[in-house]
Amino acid sequence: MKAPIETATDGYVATAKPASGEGSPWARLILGGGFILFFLVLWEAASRHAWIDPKFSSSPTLVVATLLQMLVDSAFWGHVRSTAAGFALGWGASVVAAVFLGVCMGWYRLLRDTLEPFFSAIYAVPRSALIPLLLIWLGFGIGYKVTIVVLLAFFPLLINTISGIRSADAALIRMAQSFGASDWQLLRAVAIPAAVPFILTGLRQSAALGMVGIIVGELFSSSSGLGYLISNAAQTFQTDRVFAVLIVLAVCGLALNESLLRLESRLVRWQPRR
Amino acid sequence: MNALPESVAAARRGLEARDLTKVYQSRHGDATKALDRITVTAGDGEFIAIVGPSGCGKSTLLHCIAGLIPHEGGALLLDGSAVTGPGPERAVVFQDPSLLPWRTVRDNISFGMEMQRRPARDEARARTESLIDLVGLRGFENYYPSELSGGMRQRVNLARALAMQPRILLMDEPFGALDAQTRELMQCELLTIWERDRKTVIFVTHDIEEAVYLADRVYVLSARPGRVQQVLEINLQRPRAPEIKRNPVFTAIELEIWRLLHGQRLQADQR
Repeated sequence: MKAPIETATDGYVATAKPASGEGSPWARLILGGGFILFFLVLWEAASRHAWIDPKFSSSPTLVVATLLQMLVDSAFWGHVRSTAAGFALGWGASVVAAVFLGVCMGWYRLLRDTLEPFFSAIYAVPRSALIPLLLIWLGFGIGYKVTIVVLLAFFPLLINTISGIRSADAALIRMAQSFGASDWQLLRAVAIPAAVPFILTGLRQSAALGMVGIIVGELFSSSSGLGYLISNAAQTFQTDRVFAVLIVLAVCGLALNESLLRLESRLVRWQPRR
Repeated sequence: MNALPESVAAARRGLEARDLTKVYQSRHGDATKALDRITVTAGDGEFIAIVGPSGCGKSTLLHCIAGLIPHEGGALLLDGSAVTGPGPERAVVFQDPSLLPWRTVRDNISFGMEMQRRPARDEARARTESLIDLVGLRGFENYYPSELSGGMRQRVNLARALAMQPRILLMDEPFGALDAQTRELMQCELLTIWERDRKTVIFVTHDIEEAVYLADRVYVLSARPGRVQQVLEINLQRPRAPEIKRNPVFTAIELEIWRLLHGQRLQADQR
């Protein structure tokens, strides 16, 4: 079983693989954490001694103070909910549609030949360029946000699912046929399980891109959400607020990726250790 | 030891591939004959081996008999009536173990029964458990294929076919990829299992010793296109212990087959 290939769109997904030897996890923790700490101290010092203008670049203590303030502000949570709702609806719809269509397109050649050119054409367009058009059609409510998320999150998962289904080993298909498996049984018992690792990689890619989608959409034009909060804060030079929101987004992204990785290691326990 | 008149076996109950011909169409449009009027008969309870040089089409022949690929000429007869396509009375043990990597040993063994939706769940479960014991995989039933050795994977492959309780077991060089010791062990175990219920077996191999050791009758195929060059009856007593391989009668048969195949190789080289 080949491992699905991590593609370039796979933004922040790091496949940890020590280059030389095993390395101790403690060294990584101390060195890695130490460097982050060093960076933060440097940033703070630079800001305090006015080597850099705190108005533009803020400082770690300022950002943390602002973040703590925001966390007790109900308006902030309203924006979180708005972004979360747009993302959840859009990503959820993408996952259902992309997995279903991907399985069908991977398995039935006729369907693949029919739909692939259409999807390739849409995929070829830089989809954030469609934002002005979406605004005309949808205004800037939840429908607009969901649509952007779908546009970005749908394709990586669709493509991964199709190649996953098509990756099913011909020898396994022949084996199942020798036991009299029907077409439906072949799909269910051989092709879909074989596609699971691909689908899981696609899930992570689509989640990452979906998050990019909703933030870009909100930055561009919106009256609510974390992207709106960023653009609003930036326009009024509240850089500490910008950084505070970025921290929230990073935490959400990491949490989502981590939980998908957990799901992955549960579902593909059968794979030989890499 | 002498060639068997083909009409003798034809009347018996069992499987007969009569004048089977298989032609492959290459991408460039020309046709290659892989099998040329091959006749192989396997009466009920017989152990048949098919040996031949690599590329002689022995795997193709077995896949035709399994109904996995169509043949162009001739007929496949079961008890005298024609069969097409795969059927539950024939189970294949593949060369490559072809185990589903996401299923444990237990779930791989029950795979065929699941596809056939037969027998009922309780019976299928009981069969699986007894097969785990039969092929000596007790303690490994929850392992995934990636955690098993090559020999163990082939045991699962065999158990999966046996679970169907087929009349005919079609084995496609199942021990070809194993090391010599494991191979000998697996041959012994296969014979022990076979002695219990004497199913019909058609066993494809390129290993002459293996063919003579296991089979009642050996079909020697010639290289491309595959033709039946000779049929040899192996009248050695059963059950056969591995020591029989040192028996002069055994080695004489082995030598005869070796000469047949070697002669072909020489011819092929001179061509």
